[in-house]
Amino acid sequence: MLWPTILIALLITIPVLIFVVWPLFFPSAKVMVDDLDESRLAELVQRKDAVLQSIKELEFDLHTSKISQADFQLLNTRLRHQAIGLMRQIDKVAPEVTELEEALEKEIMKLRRVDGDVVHAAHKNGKAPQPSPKKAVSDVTEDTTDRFCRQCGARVNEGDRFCAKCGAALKVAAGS
Amino acid sequence: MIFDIGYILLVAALILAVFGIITGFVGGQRRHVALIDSSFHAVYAVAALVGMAAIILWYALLTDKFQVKYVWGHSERALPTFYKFAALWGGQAGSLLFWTLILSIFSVALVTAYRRQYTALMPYVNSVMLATSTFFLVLLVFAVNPFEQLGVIPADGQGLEPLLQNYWMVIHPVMLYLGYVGMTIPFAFAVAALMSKKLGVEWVRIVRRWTLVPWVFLSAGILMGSQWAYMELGWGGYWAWDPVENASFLPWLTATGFLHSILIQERRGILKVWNIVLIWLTYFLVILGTFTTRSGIINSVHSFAQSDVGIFFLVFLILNVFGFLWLLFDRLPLLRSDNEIESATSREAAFLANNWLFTGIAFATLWGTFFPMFSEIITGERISVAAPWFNKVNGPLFLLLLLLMGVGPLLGWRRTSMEGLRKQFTWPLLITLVGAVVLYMLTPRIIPVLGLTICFFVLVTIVQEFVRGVQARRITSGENPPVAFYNLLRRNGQRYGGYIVHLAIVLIGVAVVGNEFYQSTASVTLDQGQGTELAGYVFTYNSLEAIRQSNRTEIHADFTITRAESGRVVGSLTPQRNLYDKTPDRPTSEVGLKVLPTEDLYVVINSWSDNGDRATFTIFVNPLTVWMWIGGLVLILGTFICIWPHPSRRPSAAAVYSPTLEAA
Repeated sequence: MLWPTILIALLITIPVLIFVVWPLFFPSAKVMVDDLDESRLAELVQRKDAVLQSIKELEFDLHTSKISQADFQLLNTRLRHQAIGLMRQIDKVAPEVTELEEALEKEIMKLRRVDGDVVHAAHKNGKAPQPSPKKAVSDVTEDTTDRFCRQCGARVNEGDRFCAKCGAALKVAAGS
Repeated sequence: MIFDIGYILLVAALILAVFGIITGFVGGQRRHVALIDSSFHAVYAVAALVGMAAIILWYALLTDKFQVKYVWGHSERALPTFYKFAALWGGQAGSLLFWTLILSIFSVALVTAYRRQYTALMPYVNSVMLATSTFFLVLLVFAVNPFEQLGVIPADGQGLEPLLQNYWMVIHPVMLYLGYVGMTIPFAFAVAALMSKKLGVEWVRIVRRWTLVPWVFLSAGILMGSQWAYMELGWGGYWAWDPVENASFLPWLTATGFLHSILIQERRGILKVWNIVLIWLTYFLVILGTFTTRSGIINSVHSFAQSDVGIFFLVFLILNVFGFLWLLFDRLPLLRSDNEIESATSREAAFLANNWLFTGIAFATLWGTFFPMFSEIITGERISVAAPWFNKVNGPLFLLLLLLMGVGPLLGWRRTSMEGLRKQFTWPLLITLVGAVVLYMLTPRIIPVLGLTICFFVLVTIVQEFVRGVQARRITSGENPPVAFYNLLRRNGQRYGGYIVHLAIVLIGVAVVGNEFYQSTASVTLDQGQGTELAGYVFTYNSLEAIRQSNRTEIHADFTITRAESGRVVGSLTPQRNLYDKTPDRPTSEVGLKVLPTEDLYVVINSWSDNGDRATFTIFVNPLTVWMWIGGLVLILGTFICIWPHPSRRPSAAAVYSPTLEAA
């Protein structure tokens, strides 16, 4: 009984063993050629997503009166600067991804414009540089409307009138 | 022969797991593609071998191969097939194999999901997952071989532990194991982040879902264990701060703290050390929990010395503590906070307090659990710490935690202004005050009223959060209330799913107060046809009958319950006793239960005489207990809302990753 047992055990374990050491002798070409950059990109994208999410939540906190106007302004500016910085870095790491680059560039422009608009509008009213909550939020909302579809959340191009993914009609932001 | 092969498969799995740890670690350090790839293959290979070993053991159990010691010790011919299947995790060796099997399945899910992503972290993740597998494989190969054979073929087995022959006891360990084992994943990512020095927001974002999944299994497992204790042990309660219960509760506490605390690292870049430590504690407590339930160390230090696995666990735990602490201190400069906590009335401060409370409760529970062991080692005398001690120490901490659950979500980032505090707290406090007065008038007892009042306060704040959220969506998007409510859960699931989980905890809190403070009980001897009154109900004992099942005799007592005032029939219930053929000296009990929205009517058979003409019962009326199980279901629902992906996030992530990969 000993030899058949060993034979069957070897028949099972040897193929498994070969499977494990296979990549050492025959490395697969398609895996992680440029993994360092990709990993750096993934990290930057994660950080950017986290910051954008924080911006969204901050706006929501303002709406539900959890945060004062002054704190909103301060944190919002800080987060937006962070987001712009991250997008620039992403741009540097993966310049070959033209579609991505374009989309990000637009995002940066949007963020800059919104920041500028908010401060500009407040100055024009002759008040301290703090916008009314409505103004700040509606700007942001418009800003989001032409970048993402409200229906399905897919990214949309500026000037698109319908979402390419779900076909929902898009609001075109005033001024664009 | 096949059982020898089963053992050889485990040995092969052990060798390949060790190989995979090395290739993952070295590959990660040197960024060597072939080595890293080999570590991925090792994860699949170990899973395949462990899977085959488990199938062989299942085959032995289902076909009554009593020459295998494990099968002989934990099964019998007359055991229903369902329990034969479950006997895999009914004993020590089998349950350790089952642990390894679940770990392998989780590992395969993980490497399949992230084979082409997070390339800096994944090699180390593979190493940690395989290191955990290695530990359990070492136990299976060197200490408790599940395929050990007796050398003779006995005619029948000894049968499965009677207490385990229950539907809840079959599903409960599976849930617990899924929760326990799954916690290895976030720990593996934490170690990978430390090793690769990528200690930013990335690992934290990856592990949120991988922690929520085991967390919900662990929560469900704990509640099912409580349900089992409530239905089987027949003392009217569901939680006794028993060491085995605590073993499952301890990692739940730290994991819950971790789930909250990572939200803050993601948003504000603080509490980084906390998060690493909390998930390490969770992993440590998982292994410690398996150790305490498997080595018998809590029952007696001597049983530890006799246990086959105790010393292995001890060595692994010590290695884990020193290895982790060394790594943590080495990387400490990289874990500096990006921001600081600016005010005590900020959400950040509330989260920090939350961490302290969860850790505090965990340490108190750990201390109480191990105190008998310490006292035995130091004084030679066992001094046990019973449930009242745990209630006294943990009760106030839980009340504080509950209060924080109401206060925390209302606070803003950085600091909350007086104006903000007024806006957020005026209504909840007023409504709670009215509620407290009404409650006090109904039952003038300070402590339970305090508990219920805090539960009520949290409930009000949750309702306020939902109302304000719906209003905010209505203003920004012009949605009608039901749509706004749906979108709140769908697009902001992390926060609002969390509130639903909080609601579940409130329901469980209400049930705890009801059962703990308002329970009525009586022990009575009744003749057939005679009734007794308790808490407004009359319990009438009708008859006793014996029913024969495959491996046991069941004794059923039949009761009718009527309202004492009106005489209206509420229903009937049937407490039961099971006498197992293999262990007649250890009968088990099934309580007779009638569940009403406000209270549970609960009867246990103690003994009978004269062929059941006369019998003794313990009767309980447990107010509000059903809300514990309803709370459990709400908790699962809330966690699903938290886990469910945000509608916009999937396409965006795909857009980022796919072009780079194609380019590569």
